[in-house]
Amino acid sequence: MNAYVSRALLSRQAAILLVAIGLFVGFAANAPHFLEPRTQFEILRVTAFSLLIGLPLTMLVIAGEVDLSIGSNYGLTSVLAAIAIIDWGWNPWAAAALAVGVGGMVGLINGLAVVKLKVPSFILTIGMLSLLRGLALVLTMGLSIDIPATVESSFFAFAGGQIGPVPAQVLWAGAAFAATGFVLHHTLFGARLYATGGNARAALQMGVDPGRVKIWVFVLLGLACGLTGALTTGWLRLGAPNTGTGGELAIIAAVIIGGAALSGGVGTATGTLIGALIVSMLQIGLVLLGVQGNWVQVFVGVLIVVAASIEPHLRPDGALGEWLRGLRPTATGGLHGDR
Amino acid sequence: MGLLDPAPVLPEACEVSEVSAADAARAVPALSAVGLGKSYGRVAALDDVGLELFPGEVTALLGDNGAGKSTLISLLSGVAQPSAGEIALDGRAIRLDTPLAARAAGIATVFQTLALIEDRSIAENLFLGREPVRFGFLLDRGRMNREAQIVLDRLQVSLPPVTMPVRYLSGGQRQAIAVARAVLGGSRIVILDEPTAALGVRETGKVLDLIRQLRGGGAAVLLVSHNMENVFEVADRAVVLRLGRKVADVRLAQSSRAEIVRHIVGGGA
Repeated sequence: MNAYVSRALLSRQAAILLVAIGLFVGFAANAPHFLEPRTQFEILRVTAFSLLIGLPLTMLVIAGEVDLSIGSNYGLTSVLAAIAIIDWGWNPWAAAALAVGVGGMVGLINGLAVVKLKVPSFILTIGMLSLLRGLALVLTMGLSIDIPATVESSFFAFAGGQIGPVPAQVLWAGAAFAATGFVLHHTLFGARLYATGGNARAALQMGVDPGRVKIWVFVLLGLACGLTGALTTGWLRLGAPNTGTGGELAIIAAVIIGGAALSGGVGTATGTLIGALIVSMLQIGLVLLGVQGNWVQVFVGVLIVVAASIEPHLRPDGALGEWLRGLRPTATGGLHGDR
Repeated sequence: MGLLDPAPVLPEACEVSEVSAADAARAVPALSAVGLGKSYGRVAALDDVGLELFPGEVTALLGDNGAGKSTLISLLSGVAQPSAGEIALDGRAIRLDTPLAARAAGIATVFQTLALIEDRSIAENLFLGREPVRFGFLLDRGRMNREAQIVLDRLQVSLPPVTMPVRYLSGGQRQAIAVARAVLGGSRIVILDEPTAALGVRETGKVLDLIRQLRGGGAAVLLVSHNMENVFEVADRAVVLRLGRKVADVRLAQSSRAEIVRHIVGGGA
């Protein structure tokens, strides 16, 4: 890749990385117990749950759509898995498969409604946010479903076990990160994704079907919500109808802080990883600092506002990019080559 | 056409030699349209228009606003369907139901909105919709970048490295990429809609060079333009529309600006 371009991209990725490192150092110096391995793995665990949904959400944002129903989908599928295990006596693996399947169905419905019925995804998924959360509450009558220790299955180790000191979820999230990065950068589907979000009309003119790409990503995101719901139920041995309430905000925050643009066509897996780390460090670090829990929301909100405000300036052709170009006259010459 | 010297020559000399060479190929129009008509309700936007495009020839499509130029190119590019008449490629009648069908048939249209993706590289834009892959799903970036460079070199356009996002490029460079993409698909008929409308003098010159390159490669080019100077510099033939009808189809070497303008505005014709 061209040196200048990689530098511009780096500068933006580097900017959020610097924020992440700054936060880490700040918390390490001030928050008690922050550096303890238990805290660190807890941060990684929270990050992992954000990533499992946040990575496919990044793909959806790249494709130019957004899904606000992810938290509710996550909650509903989590509850469904618990109901299947307790009320219907299903094998936990089968219950997990049901959760994943239902999550995927919800994604398919979202995708079809957005693409075929041309409902703006923002509006549609606000509706689905309420609808799915309502279903979760109705199904459980608002009560959590416990899975007693007498129910045994290898699924619980899969969902909540540890390999050495590393929580299993962190491994799954790591795999999801590698897979997403690979798909975005090295596959035809990745290229179509960026084309769809970057300029849907151009994509259509050149024979790419943006609608089909979007539906697939909605389905993928739904499957991810279902998987995360099943993993949560397996880990906590609990299906709580309020699981993931407000989760959509933290996850969207991670994606936006990570540099994906809601206007579509821009975003990376690495950016979302750093964004998710920042959000979960804030969530846990602030509590360790003794900040009242409700303030955490305020800080996450501030971070979204700040990230969204400086985003235009971090763009390659934004103020910072112009300034960098001024520093590198040779790069400018390369842009307007004469013949 | 390969016999022609691709080096820049004086416009006058260029025209004379091109015209005589094009005359040799006259027998086989790459595209011919007969009696094309398009009505929107009771309004006829286009009425009984015939058009022939020949390989290795640049045909200018001229006309005032509302003369029917846009309607005609939307019919030729599959965006809209004619109410009357038919279109034939190499003598065989063809239906262009969609833009994709037109592209598959070898008609590439470069619209004024260039349909480029800002944050993607030059190579990715060139190969948009026909990316080279391995095993059916892996993007072959190396091959894409190499082939993009080859295509751009062949068209003799000077661009930054093919991995540069289109966002950084000038208007002329963007136009070049859109045109390169059109010919990359193997299209022998290239329709350019106001390719120089938004460009400065130097960039315009480059785009005109590019059009000569296309002609040199044997493409049949339809150039839609308001700019009479550009037209006389690069086109061999001019088709003039007025109020939806064809009012002139002349060789530019045997015409003058004044005559063409008279056809366009319709004064004392």
